[in-house]
Amino acid sequence: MDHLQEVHEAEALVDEVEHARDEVRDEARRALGVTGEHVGAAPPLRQTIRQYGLSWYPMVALSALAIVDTFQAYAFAVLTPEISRSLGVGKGAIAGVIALKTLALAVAPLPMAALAQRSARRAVLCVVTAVAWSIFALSTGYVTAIWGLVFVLVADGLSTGSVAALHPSLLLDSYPAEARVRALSTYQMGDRVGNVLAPLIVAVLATAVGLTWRGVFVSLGLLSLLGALAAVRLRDPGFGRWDTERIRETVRQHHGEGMGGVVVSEQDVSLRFFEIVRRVMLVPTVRRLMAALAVFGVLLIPYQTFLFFFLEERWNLGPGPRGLFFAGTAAVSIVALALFSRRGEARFREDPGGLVRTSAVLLASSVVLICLAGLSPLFWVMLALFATSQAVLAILSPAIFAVLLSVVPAHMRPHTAALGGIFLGGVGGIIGALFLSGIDRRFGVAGSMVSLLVPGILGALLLATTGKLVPKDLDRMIDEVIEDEEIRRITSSGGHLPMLACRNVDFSYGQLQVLFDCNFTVDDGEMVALLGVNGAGKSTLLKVISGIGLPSRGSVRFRGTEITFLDAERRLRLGITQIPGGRAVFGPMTVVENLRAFGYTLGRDTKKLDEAIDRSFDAFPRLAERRNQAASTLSGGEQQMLGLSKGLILRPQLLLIDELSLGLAPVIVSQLLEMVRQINADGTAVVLVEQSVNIALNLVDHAYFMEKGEIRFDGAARDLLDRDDLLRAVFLEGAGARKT
Amino acid sequence: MPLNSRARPIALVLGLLAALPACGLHGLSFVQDDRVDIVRPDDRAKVDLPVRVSWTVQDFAVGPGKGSFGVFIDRTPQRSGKTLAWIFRGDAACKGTGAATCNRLEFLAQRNVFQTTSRSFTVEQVPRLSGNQSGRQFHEVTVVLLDAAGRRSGEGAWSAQFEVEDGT
Repeated sequence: MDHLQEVHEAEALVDEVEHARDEVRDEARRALGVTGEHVGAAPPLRQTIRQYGLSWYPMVALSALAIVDTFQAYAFAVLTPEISRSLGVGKGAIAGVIALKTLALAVAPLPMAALAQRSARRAVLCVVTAVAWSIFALSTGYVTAIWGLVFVLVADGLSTGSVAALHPSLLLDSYPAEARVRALSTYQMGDRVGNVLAPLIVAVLATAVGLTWRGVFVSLGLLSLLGALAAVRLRDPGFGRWDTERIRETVRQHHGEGMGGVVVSEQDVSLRFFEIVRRVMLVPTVRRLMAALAVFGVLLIPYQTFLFFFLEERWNLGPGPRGLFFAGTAAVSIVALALFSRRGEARFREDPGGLVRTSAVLLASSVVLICLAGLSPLFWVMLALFATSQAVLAILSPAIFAVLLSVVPAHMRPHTAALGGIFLGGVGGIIGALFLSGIDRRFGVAGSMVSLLVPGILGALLLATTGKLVPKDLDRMIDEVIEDEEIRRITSSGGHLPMLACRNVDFSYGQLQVLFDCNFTVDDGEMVALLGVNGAGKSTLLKVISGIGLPSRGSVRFRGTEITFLDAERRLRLGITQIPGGRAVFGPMTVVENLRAFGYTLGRDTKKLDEAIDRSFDAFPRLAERRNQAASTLSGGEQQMLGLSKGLILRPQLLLIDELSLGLAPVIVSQLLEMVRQINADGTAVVLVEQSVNIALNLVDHAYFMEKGEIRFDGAARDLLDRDDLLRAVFLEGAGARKT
Repeated sequence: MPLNSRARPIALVLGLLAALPACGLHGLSFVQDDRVDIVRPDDRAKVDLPVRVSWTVQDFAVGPGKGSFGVFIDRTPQRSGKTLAWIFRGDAACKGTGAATCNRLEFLAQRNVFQTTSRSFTVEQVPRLSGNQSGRQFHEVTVVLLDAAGRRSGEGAWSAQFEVEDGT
């Protein structure tokens, strides 16, 4: 069979994957509960739980952990003066300790996500960290100096990172996809119960029982330990049980395969920590929501603190009444969450983007209520307005996080949730504290409350503009899973997939999009030419393949495995090597040093590296003569020889060569091309990016032609010569001559 | 990034070792100490200067060779077992030969720290507080028990907040 025909057959399999993806997508979306149908309210959560034979235990256990998590934070805030007087530590030092704890709290979710990414052990981590923070809370009662306080608070902050990173993700995998808004809302209600209980428990322990701050912390630590012990039966159901696996099942059913036909895939956890973080931040919905969360944080975090001062200064409320105020508003939030959960779920089912737009309206409404409350001359009116605004703010969290966590693959949710917490509390909180303290100095605490209109309206605008991004990103997430499942199906049935398949790749430099829906395929042992005028996007496509650039859309698969977001360094280890355009050498280093640098991935196998260097010197004797000469002193041709030696040293499976002939004499070019032929003959597939059609088409059978960021031709090299519409005058002097 | 598997337990042990001296088991109060009760002014009351602060005390002997009271205006008291001068241990004036100066009542009074055997104390002036001058500002008076050697006795500290009429 003609080799190009084989390549096209392999390509056809990839096209089959795309067709299946288009056919299954709607069904898969429905499997995730996004039906697009308008219903007033979803059924109660208990009905869904009963329908699937599930248990309330994960919800109760995680809520219990969220409740006890609030205890120490609240107790410390309320008892700070007593701690300060008892330990002889000034308020400034205490503020410093709190800042350290806040920092720990802000960064802790990311390591938690990292700990959970290799295997689904979120439940264990949740329980272990809860036991840890309980012990730290208990230990707070035995602190006698500032360093002890620093240690227990920072350790507490670090251990409670599991709440932001792991709880939402574990919850979403414990309950069906069509119940995620209700599940998150119910969990938030648990969190608010903590906000009601914490002031009451602290008040009872400190006044009725008569304990000092030490006694309160020991008691809370023991209570927290009980909560942690109540959660020990928590189990991790695995990443994506209710979405990824459902989509896979839909694909299998589409092909008429039973459940046992194809082995259920293992979790795709091959991306490393920072690769996942980077990949998550490339999702437009995630980026926009992170910005909205940061702005929301500017509003939310300092607002809580300033509310304390506002109640004290404007309404002369002492610590006790203030505690009651917050407990009361938290109770109203519980009612609001209960009312919202089923309606929010219905909105999500109808249109997940619509839920974000609803959140925008809610956020704008809540800041207006806060302003009115800040200006109200009547206490009860102020109380009612604040309680309503707090209730509205409370329902934003499940609404935003349900959408945020739905548009990313299941195993990336801990990272996404952690980033959400960092943007909300870390970025937004810090900016908000600076923003509001400046306004407080100038306009007083009531002025600060009114100024919340600015971040509130800005956040609402960001949320409103996120709505349109959500359906695309949800489909993209679904497509990835369908593609993955299809590829597994094809490979397990013996189908031959191409070595490299780029599908629907878009790439932008900032706002400037340079690649548009590019499909590019290379099969084993092929030599492919990628042609096009300057600025057509050839080098950018190579960057996407080698991992130097990450696409804004589309996928890159190497032997069927998704590598779109893998680091360039890891692609090198997979066998993909790029020789950049121009002089692909390290100028100040000698020839031998350059060759050793190319062989970096061979590790400590010096024997193998020495053999590879000898191979290069055999191929290019002129390099051997100049082995100790700095690369920058070599001629252009010699520098390209040195660059090409990378292919000889690493012996990659796929070699990407960018503009090999640029500015070189024909005799040198033919010498280099001979070496490229040799590398290809040894089994390495080669992609040759060239502006010279003559050179490229003399070497290859398979050619691509790019124009303005699009692939305009994919076929036999000889057929390209017949495409005068593509090979314009500036470009085909030689080619035209040859043809005639 | 998380620490590698070998560094993690080492960091944990080092952290625990560093924190251990900052924790204790003896002399800690877990139940509130009710020996002192500040009767004037009412907490968060609006007052004119000078303001008389008075308190009652029980189960604590006061007088020459016995105990006394430490009174602090807008200051954090020393920790249990330490003298009043301990608060100023970081002051350059209190290092070396200056230590004796820092024990003097005049030195302490200039810094809003007072020692008395009386059950009342008149606050003549209060320090200007930082922060928003247009908002309400509460001053705080704190009373602690001192033993015969002038060291703080126990962890109990009693305080009341008051607001000065002219907004100082």
